Amino acid sequence: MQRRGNLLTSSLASGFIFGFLSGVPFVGALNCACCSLILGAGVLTSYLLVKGSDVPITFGRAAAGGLLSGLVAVPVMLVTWLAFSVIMGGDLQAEFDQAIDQAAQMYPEAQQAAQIVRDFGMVLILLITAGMCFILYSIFGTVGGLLGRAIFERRTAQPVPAPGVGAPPGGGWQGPEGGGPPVNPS
Amino acid sequence: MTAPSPRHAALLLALLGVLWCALIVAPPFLASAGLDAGAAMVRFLFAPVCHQIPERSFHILGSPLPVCARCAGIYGGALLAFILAAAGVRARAAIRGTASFLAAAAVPSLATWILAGAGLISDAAVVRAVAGAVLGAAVGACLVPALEALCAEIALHRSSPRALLNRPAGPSQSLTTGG
Repeated sequence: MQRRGNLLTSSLASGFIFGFLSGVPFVGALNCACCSLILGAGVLTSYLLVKGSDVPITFGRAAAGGLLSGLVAVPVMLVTWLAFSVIMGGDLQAEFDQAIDQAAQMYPEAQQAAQIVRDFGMVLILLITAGMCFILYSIFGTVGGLLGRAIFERRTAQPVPAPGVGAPPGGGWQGPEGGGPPVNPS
Repeated sequence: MTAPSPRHAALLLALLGVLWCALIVAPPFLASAGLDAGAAMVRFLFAPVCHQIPERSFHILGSPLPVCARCAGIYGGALLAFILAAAGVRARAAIRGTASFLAAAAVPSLATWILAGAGLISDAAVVRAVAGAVLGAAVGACLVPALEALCAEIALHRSSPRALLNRPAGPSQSLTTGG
């Protein structure tokens, strides 16, 4: 039986690792470089899939793994960030107010927006941020998965069998050992 | 709903890239039109992916972009790669040796980061943006064949999407293998 690499395990592992790193103070700032930690989560997922599979993995599998790792990273990042804030004895509300004040000073149009954000309250803003992170992290995780597949999958691809050729009754391509066409040498 | 064909993958990426870059340049124009809340929302959207320090960002109409100059360069470079790919121009190096191609493309960004940090070269926004554009173009050039292969897989397994995740890679994915 050929191994195909466990999509769920690979995604969970890389999502947890990079989600945790994203929530750690200072280390999480690496995401300021085009979400590099989440890109890394996708790349690591593809690497784990390639290493755990006896056959070349598909781009679909790599993209799905990257997407999943990005989605896993969001709650892990938020929990880690909250945990560090509590451990370090920070006042979340004060930090929230300070961040809004800083943003209001940065941009000419931010004064009115800062008031709107203040009216929303910290919990709602956290939820909106989490929602945005789900969208952004899924995009960057998928991109990381595709890049990781392109980087790490060096095996020569096999031809996809015609329907009914090489496929066992339960479905699933078994490769040349299963009676399919020979490996494409190119 | 039908999946995009591999031929249209580069075009799809180019369109998404245009949308992404349009979002990046939108806040100054939204603010000048009096849509402050809209501008703030777009800035808020990009907050998780960039430090957004105004001194390190390009300004339009006196207002900073929601991403720094290096990030703007990366996204701009990727968009350029998508547009060139849609026009039929491909970087063969991206297809044959993705890892070394990406590593080489990251050198200018790393070099400017280190040298500017040491005070040896100018830390001008343009320098950071150009260095970022090289990396972004390389990533974009690698993403095009990857998305083409993904589209080919989707087209192949349209009747049974689960097979997309379970089958080994077929010849349509050989674009980036064997390098």
